Amino acid sequence: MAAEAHSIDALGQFKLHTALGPFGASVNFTQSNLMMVIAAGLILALLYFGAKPRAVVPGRLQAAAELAYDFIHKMCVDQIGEEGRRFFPFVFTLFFFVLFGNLLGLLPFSFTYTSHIAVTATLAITVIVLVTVVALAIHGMHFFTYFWPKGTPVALAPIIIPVEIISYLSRPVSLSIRLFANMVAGHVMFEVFASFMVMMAGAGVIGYFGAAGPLALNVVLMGFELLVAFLQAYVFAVLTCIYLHDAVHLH
Amino acid sequence: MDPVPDDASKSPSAPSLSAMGVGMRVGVELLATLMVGLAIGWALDRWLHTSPIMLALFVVLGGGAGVMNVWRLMAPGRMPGGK
Repeated sequence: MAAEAHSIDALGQFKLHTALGPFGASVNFTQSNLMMVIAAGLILALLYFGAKPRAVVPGRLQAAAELAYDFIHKMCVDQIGEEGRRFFPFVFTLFFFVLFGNLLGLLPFSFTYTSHIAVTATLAITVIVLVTVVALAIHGMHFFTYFWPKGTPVALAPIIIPVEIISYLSRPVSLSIRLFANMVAGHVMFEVFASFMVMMAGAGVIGYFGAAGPLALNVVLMGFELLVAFLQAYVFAVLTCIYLHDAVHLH
Repeated sequence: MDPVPDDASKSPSAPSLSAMGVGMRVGVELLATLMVGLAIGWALDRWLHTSPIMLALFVVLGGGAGVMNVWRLMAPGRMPGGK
């Protein structure tokens, strides 16, 4: 590679810096926070302007809002059961916060807040605390039989109980790692291929043709990342529903 | 997938990258349980001053929990009886 002084800095894109000039700097308001506010604003705008026309035959925006509502509502009822309606606002908020974070991160010059484990872990811990509180509120002390499946031989108790507890505690960990790892992996790949492109282009005329390869790869990757962005938000929401189902029905 | 009922796995986006998704989920599941086991063992050791014993024990239990989670993920159909 002829491009000197250009190395691949794949992780620099995840660095936080303060946004909104001196105002942001004085309260450590980072670009990550800014993206969260934008995402929240966009979700509220989608619902507000989507619901505003109240047309019998919905327009595009209203159709999108109704689709979003129906999609999560169906997910809640299917996965949790009739009690799932009570958790609809929570799951809806969670799904769209993650989805908009993933999707906004794909825009140039933006930032993917779901690529920080601090964010995903906070969401996952919120989920698991809610699930535990719901289970305790519904079942009381009976909740602890969750760690002692019916029909297990008593001799296995010293192994099964710690294993079940570890398995339960691993839920937020796997939930947060899955989302954050997917987002980081995708963005690192973008950066690496884009760096190849710049390096190739630095090699002269032949390099311009060579650079077409990484460019094509990045285009394909963008399509793939759109899918991953949706899929990871979906998986996050579905797993939340499954955990809530376990909490409501226990076994 | 986890104990996802049938209709969830039939959703439009789920099957398209199933192989990679499943591989990713198994990997994450094993890693997560191992990390939790490690954390519990380390904390117990710190508390009880039994330096390597609890760590060694809970890493093994964490690995076991990981295999159990993967089994629940992959088991042909949900186990009919208890969870």
